[in-house]
Amino acid sequence: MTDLVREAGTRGAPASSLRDRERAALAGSGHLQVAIRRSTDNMDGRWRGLRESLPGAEELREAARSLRSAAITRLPELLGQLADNVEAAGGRVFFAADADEATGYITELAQRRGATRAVKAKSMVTEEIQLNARLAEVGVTAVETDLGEWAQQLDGEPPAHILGPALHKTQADWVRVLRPEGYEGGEDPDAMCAFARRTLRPRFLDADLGITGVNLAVASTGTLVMVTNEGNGRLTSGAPPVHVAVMGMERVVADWPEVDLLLALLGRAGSGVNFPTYVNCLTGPRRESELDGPEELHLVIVDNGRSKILGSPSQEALNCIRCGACLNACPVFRQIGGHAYGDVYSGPIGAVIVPLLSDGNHELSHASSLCGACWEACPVKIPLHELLLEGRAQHAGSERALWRAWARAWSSPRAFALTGAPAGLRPPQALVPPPFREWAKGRTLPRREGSTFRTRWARGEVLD
Amino acid sequence: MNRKAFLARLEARLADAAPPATAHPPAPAPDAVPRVRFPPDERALEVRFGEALTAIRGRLVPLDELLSALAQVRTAVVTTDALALPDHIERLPLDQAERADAGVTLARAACAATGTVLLAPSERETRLASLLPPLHVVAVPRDVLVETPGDVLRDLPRFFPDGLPSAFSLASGPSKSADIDAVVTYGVHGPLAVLAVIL
Ligand code: SF4
Repeated sequence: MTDLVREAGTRGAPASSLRDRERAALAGSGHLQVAIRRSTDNMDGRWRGLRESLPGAEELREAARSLRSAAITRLPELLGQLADNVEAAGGRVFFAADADEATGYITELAQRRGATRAVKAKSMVTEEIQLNARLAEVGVTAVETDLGEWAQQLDGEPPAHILGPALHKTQADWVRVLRPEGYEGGEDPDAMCAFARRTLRPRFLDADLGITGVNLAVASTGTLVMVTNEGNGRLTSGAPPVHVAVMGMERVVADWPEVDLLLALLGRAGSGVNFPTYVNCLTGPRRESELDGPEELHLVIVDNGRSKILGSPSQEALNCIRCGACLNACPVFRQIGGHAYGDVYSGPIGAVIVPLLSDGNHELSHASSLCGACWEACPVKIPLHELLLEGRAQHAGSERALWRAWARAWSSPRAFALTGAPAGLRPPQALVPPPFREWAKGRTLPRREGSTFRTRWARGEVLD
Repeated sequence: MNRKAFLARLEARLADAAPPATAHPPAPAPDAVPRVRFPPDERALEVRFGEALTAIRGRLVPLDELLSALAQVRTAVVTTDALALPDHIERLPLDQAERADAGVTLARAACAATGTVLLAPSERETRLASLLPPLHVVAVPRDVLVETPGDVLRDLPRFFPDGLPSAFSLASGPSKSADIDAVVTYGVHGPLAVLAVIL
């Protein structure tokens, strides 16, 4: 693993440029591309197939888009209702403005409980707020329990894909990673899976804290809905005495019919199944009449930059249900993989939200060919290509004046003539504005065939 | 940040919202959320449930084959009287699910289109009985069969007349993962096998 990859997943402007990380991703054995392409092809193909077999898929996606948009415009009301209902069911709710507040609440809770061992079920938002590092500072070891994410944790690497954290790893990589944990078998996925079960099971049963993400939170009943295919979400939320659920504030929906619609889309777009394997729905901690379950349930609702997207021209990015379909469809992601994006969120949705959330990493909006494949794949029809363009326009900032001048020059015949292009000369690289000089390298204007339109017009050749 | 300040910040952002950066803004939300339909199928619910369950690597076992299907099972945690288990199976206390070969529980609902069962804790049933043992045996009373997961999610009071329990799960087949080199493996955390019996 290169240092360029290692630093991916830390928020803020990474030390290396997007171009350096792309180069790092494209160098090497080529296995990365092969593995990513195979996995993404597989997932993208399954979602395409399911889209065709689902009656009325287009209307469902349009409805999902409208419903998500409506929920986001009602965010303050729905979050208030959600918090009231979670509390009425015996849970506690904490509103965290940023990563520090969220991790501060959770580490304090861990200390109050005297916790030293935590298990986690796949959650992008806890990666985003770097919860594991904060927990380590107060003496809590947090073990990732999603199989792919566990391998990434053991390997000291951030997840490479929203739903396939280790999709770039070969079986040989897996053996290398599991060996120090005591795995003695060979390149046999079943044996490695069984080893993971044996190794991780005691961690669940001994843990002081279970930490999970939230896929959807239902305001009307205060229920947290969590989706996994492995069952680690059920174990993480059900076995330890304390359950901490961490959610991005945009995850809320008004009522259960939306859950039906969104889960049907999430399962198909994200995992290629009609319905996710385990949908776990939690309303408060264990009741007195029940035999097991956590004594305490804490819901941490995280803003951490999301309110900058709210009310912005890119608000629709908050509709995302984190299915990963846009990553699978994206020709750029398929070439460079998740790590090259330098953040926990990658692919088209990452390229849209990372610059907005972090006020940095603006160059990510250029990690796209604007082909629109992401938009076509998105189950909630977020116009990602338009939002990427919006990101570029915002990013242009001070460079905008330069670009305007450039555009003016090329639309005025006299200025155009001055560039030498009409005479068959090519404009020198120095005439290309700085942000695109890198891009212009290796691209030259086509040599004109024959005379210019203006000359031919003047000669009366055009209309004859 | 306290709740009030947090929500006030969102109110302020929304009150001052910029026009969306898209040429085609979303249509207004429909009055009713459209239903997720599956291709029409005239066959009986239990036939389709069995087929869907088989497709996701579960198994529907006729009642009279239960004995042979459970021949290998030595120990079980059992949270329902609905199934008469073979005598050779030792019943373990409910808090010993980790040691048991099988967990035997009752489905509150079952979906024909997807092979999904609705599981929930109660005075008798633990969350972990259907999760920790390598085999999950689930008894499905015929009258809880419905078409789709939406029939459960949109009609929760029917299945939980006393209000929602602290946890319920819609489970579709055994625990699975495709994280190792895109090869599908079963039982990484939950049951390796799921066996349903319709009563
Ligand atoms: S933007 Fe759309 S396709 Fe991409 S992860 Fe979010 S919901 Fe899925």
